[in-house]
Amino acid sequence: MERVIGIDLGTTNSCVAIVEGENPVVIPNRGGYKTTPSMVAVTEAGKRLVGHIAKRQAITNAESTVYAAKRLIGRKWNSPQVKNALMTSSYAIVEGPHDDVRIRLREREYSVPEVSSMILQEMKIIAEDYLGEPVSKAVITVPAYFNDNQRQATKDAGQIAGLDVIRIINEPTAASLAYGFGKNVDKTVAVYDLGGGTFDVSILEIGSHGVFKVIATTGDTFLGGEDFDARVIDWLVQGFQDENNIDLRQDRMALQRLRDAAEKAKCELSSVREAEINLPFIISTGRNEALHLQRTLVRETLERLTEDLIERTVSICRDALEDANLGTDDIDDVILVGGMTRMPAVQKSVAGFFKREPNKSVHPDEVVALGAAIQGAALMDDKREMVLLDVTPHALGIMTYGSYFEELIPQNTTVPTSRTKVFTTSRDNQTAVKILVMQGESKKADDNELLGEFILTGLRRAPKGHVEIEVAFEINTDGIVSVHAKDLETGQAQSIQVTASSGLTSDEITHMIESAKDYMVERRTDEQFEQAKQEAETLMAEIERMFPEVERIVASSDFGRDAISKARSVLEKSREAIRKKETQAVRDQVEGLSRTQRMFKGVVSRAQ
Amino acid sequence: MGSRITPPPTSKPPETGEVDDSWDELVFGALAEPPADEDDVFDRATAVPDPTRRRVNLEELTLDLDSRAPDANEARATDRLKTAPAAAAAIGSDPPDSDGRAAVLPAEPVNPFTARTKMPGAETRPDLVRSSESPERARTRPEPVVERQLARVDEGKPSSAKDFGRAASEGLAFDDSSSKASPLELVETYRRGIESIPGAAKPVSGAPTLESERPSGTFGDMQDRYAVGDFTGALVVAESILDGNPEDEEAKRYAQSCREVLTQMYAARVGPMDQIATVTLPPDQITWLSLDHRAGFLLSLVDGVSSIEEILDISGMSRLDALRIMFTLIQQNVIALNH
Repeated sequence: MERVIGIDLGTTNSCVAIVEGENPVVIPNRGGYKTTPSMVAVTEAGKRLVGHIAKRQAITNAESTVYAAKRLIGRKWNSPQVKNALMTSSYAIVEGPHDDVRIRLREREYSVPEVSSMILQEMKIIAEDYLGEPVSKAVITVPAYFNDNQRQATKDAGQIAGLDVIRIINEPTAASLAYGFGKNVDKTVAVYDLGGGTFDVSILEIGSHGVFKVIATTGDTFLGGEDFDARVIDWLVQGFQDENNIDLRQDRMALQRLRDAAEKAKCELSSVREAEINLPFIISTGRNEALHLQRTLVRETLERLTEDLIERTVSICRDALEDANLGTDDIDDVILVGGMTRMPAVQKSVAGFFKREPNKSVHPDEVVALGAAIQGAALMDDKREMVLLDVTPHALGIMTYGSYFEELIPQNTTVPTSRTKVFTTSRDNQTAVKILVMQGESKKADDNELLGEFILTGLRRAPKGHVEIEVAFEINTDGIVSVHAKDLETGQAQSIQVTASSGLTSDEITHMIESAKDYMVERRTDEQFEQAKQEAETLMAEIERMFPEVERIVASSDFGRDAISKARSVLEKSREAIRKKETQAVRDQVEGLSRTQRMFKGVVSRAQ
Repeated sequence: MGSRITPPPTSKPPETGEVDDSWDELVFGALAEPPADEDDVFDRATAVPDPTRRRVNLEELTLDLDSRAPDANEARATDRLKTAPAAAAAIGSDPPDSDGRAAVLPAEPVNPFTARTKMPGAETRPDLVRSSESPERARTRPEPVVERQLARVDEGKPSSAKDFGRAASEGLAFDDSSSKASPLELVETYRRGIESIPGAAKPVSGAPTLESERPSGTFGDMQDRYAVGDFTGALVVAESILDGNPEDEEAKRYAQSCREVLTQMYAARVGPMDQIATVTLPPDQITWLSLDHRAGFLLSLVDGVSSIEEILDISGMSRLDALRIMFTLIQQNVIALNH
C-alpha cells in the first residue's frame, strides 16, 4: 500500500509524520530534530538553505531569508495582511502579475506557494530518507480560518514539491484526531494552539460519523513564541545597555546570537527554574576590546516579562467561546497544540480559564502532524474506518442590496451539496443583475472574500420585486463551486464555475514543478561533487604538506625537478576542476593525486 | 621545523651574478605571477630578482588574520610574531607545538556582568622593519608552494600542461612496494607513470618573469606584494585603493585575485569542508581568549553537528574572513575537526 505522509506546515516550524503499523510516528530530520523551521534563505553564493540552517542565519542574512510565508500564502496583493507584512518583513515582498504576492530573494522573484514548496520538499526528503523509498502522497494541514484560495495555494505548494496532496485538513481537527477523538464519540473540544508565530483557538463539535465541525475559530496571526523570545531579547539588551552603554541590536551578529540564546533559555525554563545565558565576545568596542554577556534568567522573570501575552491568549479564548455561544462548562476537553504550550505559565492559565486540565499527553509540537498522518493512512485504507468528511470551511452566498451577504451554503456543510434560493430585483425596470459569489461568515459582504461574479441580463422590465431570480449553489466532490442564476419567468440563465485560485496559472505551476525537479537533480549532483572534492582535497592537503620536504630531497636533479613540476601540475589541474565544479574532472584527477601522494610518502620515508 | 633550503647552483639569478641565499624561492613565491604579467619562466629554479627592488622582510609575507587598512596593518610587529607564532597563524609559519597553544593575552576582568578582553595587537605596533640585510631572518615554513600554485591558477592563464591526452606507452605502474628504491628512483618511476594517466598534467614550464615595469606609489606596493606572494598585504593595499576609488578596475582585479588565492590557501589548510567542528574548550576558558566579536560569532556557530561548509554558509561574513578565523581557532586548539 502506498505510504502517505502527514505534514504540519506551520508558520514557524513544520513537522512530518507517518503511520507505521498501527501507530503514527514523527519523522526526525537529519539533525535529529522532530520539527524543522519553516524558513528558506539564499546565500550570497546563491546556495539555497532550508530549515535549521536557514534559521541560524536569519538575522545576519535577513534580506534574503523568508519566514512566515504562511501569513501570505493565497492572499491577494491588496489584502490587509499583506500590507501589514510589507511593513514588518525584512525580505522584499512585491506584487505579482495576477494581483498575487511575490517574494524577492537576491535577484529572483518567487511566488509564495513556490517558497512554501521548498519547505514541503524538505519534509518530503526527510520522509524519504527515513523510509528509504520515494514518497508522493501527503495530507497537509492548514488553519481552520483558511479560505479556498489559501487552501488551493497550499495544495499548489505541495504539487510543486512533487506531492499529490490527497486532502487538506484543519489543524485543530488533526490535533483532535491525534488524541483519538472522533471514534464514536460526541464531544465539544477546545483546541488551544500557541505556535511560534501565531495563536489560534478553535471550538470543535465532533460527531460520531466522522464529522468535525469547527463551530468557532479565532486567534491572532501575530502572537506566538517569537514574541516571547522578543521579550527576553529586550531584557538582555536593556541590561547590557545599562551596563556598557552599547545597543546590541545594532549589530546583526550579536542580535542573531541573542535570538538563539533567548529561545534556548525560554525552552529550558519550561523544565528548570533558571537558565544561564552565556555569550562570550558578543560585541567589539572601538577600543580593541571584546565584551561578554553573561546573565541568568529565572522562570519568574520570564513569566513577568510575558504575562500580558498569555493574558491576551486567554482573552481570545473568551471571544471564541462567545462566538460559539458556549460557556466553559460546555467544553468537554481542551487540547494543547504548539511548542509554547509547554510553558508552565501557559498551561496554568489555560487550565484556569477552562477550569479543567488540558490534554497534553501528546507532544504539542507534533500532534497536528500525527493527526494528518492518521487521516492519510485512513484515506488509503480500504476499510475507511475513520475518515473525515469533507466540509466547506466557510459559508457561501451572494451579495445583496445594501452590501449585505446572503448565505446559501452554511459553514461546515458536508460536500457534495447544493442549495437554492429565490431573489428579486431592487429597482424598477431593472433588466440585469450582477451576482457576486462570496465566501465568509460576516453579514456584511465587504468583510467576506469575493470568489467570482457574473451578470444575468435580459430580465423583463417590471416594478422592483416583481421579477424572480433563482440562484443555485452547488459544490461537487472535488470542491468546485458552481453558481447558476435563472429568471424564473423568461428562463434566461447564466452561470459561473468558481475554482479557488492561488494566484498561479497552470503554466506557472508546471514551470515551478520542473524547477523543483531540477533543483533536486542539482542537489544530488552537488552531493556527488562534494564527495569527489573531499577525496581530492584530502589528497591535495597531504601532498602540499609534504611538498617542501620532497622538493628539498629531489630538486637537485633534473628529473627530480621535472617530477616536482608534474606534481605541481596535478595539483593545479585538481584545483581548476574543483573551481569549475566538474565532478568527473575531479574524479579524473584523483588517480594522479593518489600517485603523487604515494610517491611523496615514499620519498619522505626513504629519505629518513 | 624544516631545514634551510639552499637554492641549487644552477639557479643563480643572471642579473645579479651572485647567489643570494636569503632569497628563498619557496618563501618568496617567486613563481607567483601578477595578473597582467606575460612570460612564464616557471622552469627556472629561482625567480629573477630585480636589483632595484627593495628587499622585503620575511615577516611581511606572513598572513595577518586581522587585515586592516595598510597604514594600520603595515607595522606587523616582528616581536608579536616571535611571542605568538601560532597566533600569527601565518600560512608559511610552522604549526604550533602539539602540546602548545598559541600565546594569548589573558583577559582583564572588570565586572561580573561583562568581561573585557584585549585583543592581540591592541598596542601600537612598530613600523615594519625593512632591512636589506636582515640578520638571521626566521625562515617560514615553505608553504608558499601552495601560493605559487594558486596564483597561477587564478591568473586566468591556461596551465602550461597543455597536452593532457598523451598517454605514456611505458605503462609503468608506480610501485611503492619496493623498499630498496631510493627517493630519486621513486621520483623517476612516478614521472613516467603519471603521464600514463588520462588527463594528467604535463609539467609546467616555469616561473613567470618579474620584469614588468613597476609603477610607483601604492599601486606599485600592491603589485610588489602580489608578486612576492604577500597576498594579504596586496589585498589590504588593493582595498585601500578601492576605498579612495571604488571604480579602479586594476585594484578590483588584484583584490579579487588575492581573495581567491587566500581563500583557497586557507581552505587547503583547514581541510575537507565536510568535517564537523567541535569546541574543545570549556565555556569559562573561552572568555580568556583574545577574540573579537566576529570570531566569537563564528565560535557560537560551532555546535558539534554542523560541518565547516555549513558554518561558512551561515557565518554572515565573507568566506575568506570566515576561513581565516576558523583557521586561527583551529591553530589555537579552540576547535577541533572530525570527520
